Amino acid sequence: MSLLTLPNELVLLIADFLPITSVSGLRKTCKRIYRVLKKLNRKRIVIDDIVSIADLEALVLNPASRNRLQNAAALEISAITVLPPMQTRTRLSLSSFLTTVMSKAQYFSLYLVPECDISYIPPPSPNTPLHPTLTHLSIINFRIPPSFLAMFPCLVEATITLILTPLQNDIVQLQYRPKDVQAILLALPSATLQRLTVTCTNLPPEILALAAQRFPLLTHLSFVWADAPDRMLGGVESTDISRSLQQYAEAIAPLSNTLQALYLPACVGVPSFTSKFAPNAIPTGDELLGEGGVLLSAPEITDSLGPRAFSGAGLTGVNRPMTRGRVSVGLKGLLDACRTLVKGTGGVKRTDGTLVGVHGMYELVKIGWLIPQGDGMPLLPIECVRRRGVVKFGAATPPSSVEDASGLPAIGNLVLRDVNNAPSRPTVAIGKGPGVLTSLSSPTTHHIPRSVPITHHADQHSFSPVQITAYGARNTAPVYREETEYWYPNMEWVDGCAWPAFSEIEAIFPRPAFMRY
Amino acid sequence: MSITIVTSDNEQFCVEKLVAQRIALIEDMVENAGDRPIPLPNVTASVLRKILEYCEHHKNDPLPPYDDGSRSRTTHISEWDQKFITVDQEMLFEIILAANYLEMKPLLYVRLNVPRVQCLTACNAVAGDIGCKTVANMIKGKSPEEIRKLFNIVNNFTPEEEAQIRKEAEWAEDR
Repeated sequence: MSLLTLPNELVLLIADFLPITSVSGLRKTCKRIYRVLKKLNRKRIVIDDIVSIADLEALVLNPASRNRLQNAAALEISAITVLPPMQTRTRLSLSSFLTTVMSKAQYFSLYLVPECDISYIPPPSPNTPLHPTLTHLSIINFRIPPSFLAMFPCLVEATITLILTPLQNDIVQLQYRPKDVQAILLALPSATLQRLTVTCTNLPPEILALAAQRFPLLTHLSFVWADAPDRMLGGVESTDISRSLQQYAEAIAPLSNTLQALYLPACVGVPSFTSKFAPNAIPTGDELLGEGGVLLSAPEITDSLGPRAFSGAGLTGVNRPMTRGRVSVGLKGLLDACRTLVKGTGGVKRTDGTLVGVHGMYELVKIGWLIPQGDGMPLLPIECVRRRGVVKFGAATPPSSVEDASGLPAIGNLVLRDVNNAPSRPTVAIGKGPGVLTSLSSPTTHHIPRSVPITHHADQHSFSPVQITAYGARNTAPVYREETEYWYPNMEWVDGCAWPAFSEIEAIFPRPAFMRY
Repeated sequence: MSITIVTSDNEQFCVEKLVAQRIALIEDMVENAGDRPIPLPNVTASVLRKILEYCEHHKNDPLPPYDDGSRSRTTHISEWDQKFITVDQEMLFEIILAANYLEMKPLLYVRLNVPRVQCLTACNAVAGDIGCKTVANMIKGKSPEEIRKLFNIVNNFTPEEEAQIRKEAEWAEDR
């Protein structure tokens, strides 16, 4: 008879008497206890059927539930209808609820199911105290005043999103516009914020610059606005950002040492280079992977700006939206855009931490795009992933995969960077520059039957397999190793939703079903 | 008035009804059993003896109410209870299991009923607070390795799994 012979509910009850630090220790003892204690979640409270602010009041007025709320570290509220900003028995507002009842909380999520109308959070009263501990905040489908965000000086992660299709937004005009986003950025704490997701109608470079300047610790920045790209129909406010890419690159430069992921909103289109081969609305897999006619013809792009002036399009009005025509993208155009944003390729890190042969956004390894393709066409979500590795030259046979830098010894005073974002998805590797690709990456789950080097013909905008003999001829060069980087289009990023959403919490407490679907 | 209880190893105990009523399972069974002995096929005589000792000591205590959610998580155990529960690990876990089976209110029986709030705790389980508190006190302040040694648990994580778990638990730490 031992601890392991007890049924799960008794193990849980024992854990319930432990401080969470001891729970953490107990969880690490063996697999079975780990699995059991994943269910112990006493610090996270989920309220999934709030119908009015009075429900919250009822909880607060009940000593038992009030006690639990006061001791909880995480609270998720899912509202199934609009919360009226009424104050009844307790004169409770969401702000006062958080600062008084939930003053120990580190995580707060308020979610209004998308079928409901967008709701509002009223601004806190002037004398509402700051919340001293909240680090993770998620407000979905509630429009918030900036003063509400200013209550949380310790935020590490903020998700401020409105899930509206552009079609809905045409009617209700509620989606955050750049000026709204500017106010939100100014209200968020600059010294602590690391991950930010805000939905936005479009993204002028000034907004990106403001975020980069205000939040020096940012690792994840997302302005994605879409939850279901396939429902995106007319009214997508597409913006040709080809001329803004350099400005974007300049804007994010202050985050060169921190920013790892950048997601751009639905309104951002990356215009393709034009092609004669444009029979399809959406590039096929082969096209995207570099074979066949890659890109769509979009000669009408510059001529098809809709008559509807978009008053909120950017702080400067430079980024004019398109309501007609088609912004399209091909693999090369997209990856070129990524390379423009990171302003540099390649490079290694020395043992002293200095970078060699790299300029720009060394840490930025994921760029997500939601590509509008014009009226009536679905958005095309593509996440581009950057990967660094070591390619061996001089081998007897050509490489069929890129060898990760991780696990390799340091060469001289160079430390090969560990890259842990290697996708387990079909990928194709595009080398830097206009020349020949060095290799095609082939992760273990690669199901594209082409694990051979391919060549990118920059002048012809096309790709073709490298002849093995040609590759072999090049392998007469002396053996050496260098870190090389690649960009991959990750076509499985299909939900169009780039919310990092509390990754560390999710690892412990999986998100409730209503938040996943 | 007394009732007879038969343990899994066929030992018979003649127990005062007031004492036996501390055991919820028996309390329920008495009404149906009449004068017949009450079988407890999941409890051995040695364990039942300990449990009856507990019941005897606490027979005049008021029955605890259902947990209203405000149950203190203190791991304090009274002096007598502490002495009572000072047993070897084998017996400790036997008592916890038996208390769970017998639905003993003082030793155990907590029920959480907080409408609308779904606290994913185990508080709605039925179990022995004193036994569980004792085990919790044994665990407190110990490293995973020390806990393994204490309870003879074999670490069956791979190094990769251990690294993953180390990463994911940080948020839950008390600060």
